[in-house]
Amino acid sequence: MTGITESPPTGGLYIHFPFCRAKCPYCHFYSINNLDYLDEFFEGVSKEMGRRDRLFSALDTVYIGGGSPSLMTLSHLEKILGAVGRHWRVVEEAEITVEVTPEGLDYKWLTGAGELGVNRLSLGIQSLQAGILSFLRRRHDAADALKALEAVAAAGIVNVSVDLLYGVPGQDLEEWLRDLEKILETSPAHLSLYELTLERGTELWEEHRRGLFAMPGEETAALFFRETSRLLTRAGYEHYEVSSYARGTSRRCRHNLRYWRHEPYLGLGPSAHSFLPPGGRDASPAVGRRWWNVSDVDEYLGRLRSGNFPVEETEELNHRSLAFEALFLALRTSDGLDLEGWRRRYGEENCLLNDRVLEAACGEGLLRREGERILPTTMGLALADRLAVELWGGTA
Amino acid sequence: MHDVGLIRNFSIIAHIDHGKSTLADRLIQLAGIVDERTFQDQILDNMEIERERGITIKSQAVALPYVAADGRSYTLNLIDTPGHVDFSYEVSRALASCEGVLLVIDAAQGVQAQTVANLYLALEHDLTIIPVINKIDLPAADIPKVKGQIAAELGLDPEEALLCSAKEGTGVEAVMEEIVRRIPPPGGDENKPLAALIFDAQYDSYRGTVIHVRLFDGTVAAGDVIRLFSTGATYRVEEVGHFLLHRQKREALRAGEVGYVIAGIKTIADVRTGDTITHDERPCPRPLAGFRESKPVVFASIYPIAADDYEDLAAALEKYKLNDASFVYEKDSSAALGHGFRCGFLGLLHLEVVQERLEREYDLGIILTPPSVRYRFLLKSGEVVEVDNPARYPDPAAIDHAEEPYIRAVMILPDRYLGAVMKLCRDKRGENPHLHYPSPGRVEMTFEMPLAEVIYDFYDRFKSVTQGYGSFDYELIDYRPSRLVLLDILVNGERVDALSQIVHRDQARPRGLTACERLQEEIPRQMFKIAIQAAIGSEIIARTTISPFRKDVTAKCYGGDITRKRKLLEKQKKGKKRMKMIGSVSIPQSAFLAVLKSDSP
Ligand SMILES: Nc1nc2c(ncn2[C@@H]2O[C@H](COP(=O)(O)OP(=O)(O)O)[C@@H](O)[C@H]2O)c(=O)[nH]1
Ligand code: SF4
Ligand SMILES: [Mg+2]
Repeated sequence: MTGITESPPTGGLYIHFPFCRAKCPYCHFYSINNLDYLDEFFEGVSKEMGRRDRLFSALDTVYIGGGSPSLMTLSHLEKILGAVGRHWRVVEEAEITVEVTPEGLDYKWLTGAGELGVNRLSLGIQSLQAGILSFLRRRHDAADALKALEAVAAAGIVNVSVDLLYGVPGQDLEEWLRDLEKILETSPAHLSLYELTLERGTELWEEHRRGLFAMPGEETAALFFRETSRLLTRAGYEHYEVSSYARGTSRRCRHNLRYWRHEPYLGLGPSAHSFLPPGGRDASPAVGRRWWNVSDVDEYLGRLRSGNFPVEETEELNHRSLAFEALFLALRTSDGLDLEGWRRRYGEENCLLNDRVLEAACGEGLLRREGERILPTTMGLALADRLAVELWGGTA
Repeated sequence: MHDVGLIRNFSIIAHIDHGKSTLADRLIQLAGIVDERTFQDQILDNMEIERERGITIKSQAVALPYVAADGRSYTLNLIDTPGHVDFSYEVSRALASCEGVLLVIDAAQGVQAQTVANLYLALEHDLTIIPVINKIDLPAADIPKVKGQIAAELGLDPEEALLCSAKEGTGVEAVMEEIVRRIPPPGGDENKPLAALIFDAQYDSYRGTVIHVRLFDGTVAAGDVIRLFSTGATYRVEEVGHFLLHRQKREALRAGEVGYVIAGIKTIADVRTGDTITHDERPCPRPLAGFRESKPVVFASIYPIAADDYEDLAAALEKYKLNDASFVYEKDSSAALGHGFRCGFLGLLHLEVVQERLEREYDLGIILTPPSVRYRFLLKSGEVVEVDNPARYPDPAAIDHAEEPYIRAVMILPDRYLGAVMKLCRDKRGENPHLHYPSPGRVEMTFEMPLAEVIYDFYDRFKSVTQGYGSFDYELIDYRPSRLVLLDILVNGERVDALSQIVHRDQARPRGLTACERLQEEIPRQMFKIAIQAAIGSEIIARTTISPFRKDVTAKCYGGDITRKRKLLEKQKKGKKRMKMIGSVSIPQSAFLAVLKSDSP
């Protein structure tokens, strides 16, 4: 067990910008469309920084997500990144990402953002098909998307990730693969390809419950997953996480890797999540700590104003829980799990692995073994959640 | 102040659903020992599972104060009895503590199979019988017809029958009065050495074993040193008392009374129901006549789902046994399931009740293997072996021939179902039918059938073909030659010993297929394809497969919200706990019993 470290660790920072023009029917992230709160929001986030800056000595990833951060003007962006710089040392080669949507994305904003230090963009295109975009009720079209990609390139931001959705009702596999190829012509550094998931509480979930449409079945979903992976891999991308592809290891999203590797991160803004592994400062050495903020701008601001933390809930994670998390998180990634490192980090007695299932999963081609490391195959990635549940537990 | 003349010990016996529990409730209410606000229907059925199923399993006792018409204050000890064929052992030991019974008969349904069976039990114990025609409020009540049956089928005087509606309370007061008038007070002599019959026992985590007794002679009080006849073990009595729904401490218990004794008995094994308690200093010369020993006829193994729970299971079975003398068990082990116990039950319902009580009262996750009867193998060497556990099936090459137990089934049903029940019995290898028409429109049918057929899905089908109107009872008669084979189940090529069954040669194929199909339904899809096969020796006779999952992962695990995901997966992990890992396949608890269920027509 490690003691309390001398100086705080280097961490990752997430800022949740909770504003959108309108709510998308499939989205379960917290966001509102009342922009009147903007100024107060920036004040709130700065306050929160002041109360949390001791957690990290420096930042090497910053991620501004949402919500729709591209609703920020350049002066907003300057304000918030300026505040980050005042509270932490941002290492020289830090990854600084902003999520943007194609609508109204212009050259000026992009170059401005680049000058402020933004070196990675996550572009929410979702689809190139008018039918699908209208099902998703997105307010941009394929032309906007391609224009946005050009603008980004012109602004000299090379580290770009494109977000697309698949597994949408009525979607055709061939068409999806053709769209992917069209996107690949622009050689994005990274792609996040998500299977559409119905989340409780969203409009789509409700409509589905009322029987207004049917979701593709498991076989279809598996087929899309496989074919997508095959196409991207052939095009030279690394399928390094269930939904993530990178043009080379250096283009992986370093911020997201923190989530999957149990590295420390701090989330600011309403509904943002934070995590400190055991042994870090501000966490008793034996447990990991995760907390998340309230999902309500008013309450978030109110709590900060009255001198309280805007935390909704904190949980302490013992080594057993952390070991399980580490297992299911690692199985989402192509790097898989280094069993030796796992056991060293969380204790042999907490790392429960069923050898019979492991053996069977290797035999069935869901996992590969390289020395002490187990790595999911593409088939294994498609079953990562189940794999984790089945692998967990002693040999009966 | 003790006057045996003011005590009556009685039971209520009836065919299921004729109103025994309801009548007991009314009597308790009338005695005024429970206030209206806290009154729950069917007070005596206080085990959760009894309430859910509406059946009475454990006998219970309660003392009812009653001021009779003669102005004297009586104590009427009501000893409740179970109402199902599996539990006649418990009926028997409850009756051994009584001088009389109320024989409750449904005014609409009339005399049923168990009315007769229970009457015989009561007659065996030489008890006074008061017939009570219940549910006279029903429009379908036919009192003259029921009186006719009482005379013709029970051989009792119909003029002695009392009429009541337990539901509405009419005639219940008269029942109390007749208990006092007709049932004799207990005999016995309180000056003689103590002789008390243990008719039940319960374990109380604070007080140890609470023994339920009926005193035949002598008295017992706190401070006495008592001896258990069968083991000779001695204990100092801490407390004695009555049951007034709950335990009510008393100074002493005397000849003729029913009550409880607490004597700091921690070793559960020392108490056997049916045993006699006496004083260490002045013992009675011989134990009281024990009652009809129960004989288990159905056997199955119980395993903990988690191997760590073995010790807890052992402790739970020991405690359970104290409360259910008819349950027997010994150690068992299985390659697939590890260490467990082989258990004997009075019947299938008894088995299910044990399973549920272990799970609920002791909070144990257990697996029950497919039940079996006890077969007899005559080996070429001349040796005879009895086998109730498929794991102990003899080497087929050494078997000369096999025998299986047969029962005589007695079924009473409206004659319109005769054809359907005949067919069912023939399907179940029934032979030698006898028909008897006790009253117009009703037929009593006896069949000789292999007991194994009855445990394989007979009750459910019988109930369904008679639309619930038939009653069924059985007794073991003999062993008859049979052609048996051992049917194995293989999951992904691995033999799961706990799923093996001994079956009749002619039924091996259909049984094998049914077992494979049931397992296909019960075992949830997993990450790999699962092959399920049924085999006799090395010959595969049936197979099914379960296709694997292709995709099971959430697209996003973003924004650092790992907690939500973990909680979701932990739920699945919990679900897995109800399953047993066999090799790399998780098999749910329910699958082990499901192999015995056929898809009834
Ligand atoms: N109409 C009517 N129903 C009754 C009467 N006594 C009992 N029942 C009903 O018959 C069913 C079986 O009664 P219960 O006391 O559980 O029978 P047990 O199985 O003999 O204990 C229940 O639904 C009772 O409500 C009665 O006097 N009249
Ligand atoms: S999907 Fe993006 S733009 Fe749509 S509501 Fe959610 S956060 Fe806002
Ligand atoms: Mg009852």
